[in-house]
Amino acid sequence: MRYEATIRRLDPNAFDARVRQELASALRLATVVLGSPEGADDVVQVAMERAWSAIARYDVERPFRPWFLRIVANTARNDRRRRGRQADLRLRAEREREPVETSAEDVVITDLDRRHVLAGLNRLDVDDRLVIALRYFEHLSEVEMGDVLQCAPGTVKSRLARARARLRRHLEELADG
Amino acid sequence: MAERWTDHRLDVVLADVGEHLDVPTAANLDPLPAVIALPSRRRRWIAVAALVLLVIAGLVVVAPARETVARWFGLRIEEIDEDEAVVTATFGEDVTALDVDAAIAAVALDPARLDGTPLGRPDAAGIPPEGGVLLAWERGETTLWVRPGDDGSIVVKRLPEGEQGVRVDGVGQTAVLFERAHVLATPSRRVAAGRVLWWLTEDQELRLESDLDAATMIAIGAALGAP
Repeated sequence: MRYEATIRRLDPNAFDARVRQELASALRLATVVLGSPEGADDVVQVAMERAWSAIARYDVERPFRPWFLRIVANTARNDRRRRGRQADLRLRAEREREPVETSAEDVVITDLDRRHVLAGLNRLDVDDRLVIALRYFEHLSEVEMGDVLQCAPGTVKSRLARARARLRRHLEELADG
Repeated sequence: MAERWTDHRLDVVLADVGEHLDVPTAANLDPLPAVIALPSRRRRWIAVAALVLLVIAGLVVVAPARETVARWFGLRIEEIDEDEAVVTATFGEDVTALDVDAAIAAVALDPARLDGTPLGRPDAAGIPPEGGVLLAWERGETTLWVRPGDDGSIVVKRLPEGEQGVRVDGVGQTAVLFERAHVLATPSRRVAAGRVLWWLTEDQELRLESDLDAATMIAIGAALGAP
């Protein structure tokens, strides 16, 4: 069969199964870019379809996760641009019933800490929120972040440093105010 | 305050916030195989837009190439032949393979209807760069390209001077037959194409390309496009 020499095996069920491994990250990233959970599932659904349509251009030598998250981030950006809404990230409701917690590193985290950081994140622009989310929420390496953001790892490093600095300033303002 | 938000503390709290952010669940997301066969109003309208463009493109005077695909970019060649390049250009290395049964299911084709045509079960399936699903048969060097119509790609046919598509009744909702080879232009590529029957159903756009005679192609289209 002459076609088989030129084509790779792929099946939508297998693709769906692979994408589902990334859905938690995808939904979180869409939420961060949109600035709220409303509509994040729609964004991810569209991103799944776009990824499937673009699968012929996916380089199998490169990791799937950053490639898919890039499509999610870009889809969410487009959606956000269309809606033009303000950031309103929030914590899950059940967390409010557990106001104090000790992390594995013995840093006591209070509900007030979380609320301050979240308020700081809501003051950041979408680019800063995205770079912070990729690093701290999704725990991507600088190379992987570069794949998502389509920039060099060195650029990722400087963008992350600037975003952190701006977040820290907002935290200080919130504490002062 | 600077002491309160040390680098380490900020890192830890950020990671904690990420773990407890309010995000939607994945429960409402549809499985991809169901989604890519899903009808929608937007798909319908874009498919209609593609038809309009196709008819307009039919009036464009374009002299197609007969040699390599690269020469088609020039659009200044005298005549067109149905040579080997015409057929092979439609299923090249940029097509990603797909399991045949999965492909048939993905585009919601009834396998029994396929079996009832002279083509029978496809010999291969793939995904072209523009999206959708491509089914292929060795018989008649035939391909059937099924697209949902809302993938953002507009496919335009550029016909030889004086050539126009012919409306065909009884195939889907709207059907056009292009008897002679022509240029198929998409955002991804510009390739030579042979005899094509193109039609719309409620939610899909189908493009049958083959060396089979026109009557056989129309019969296949009628069988697949029937309600």
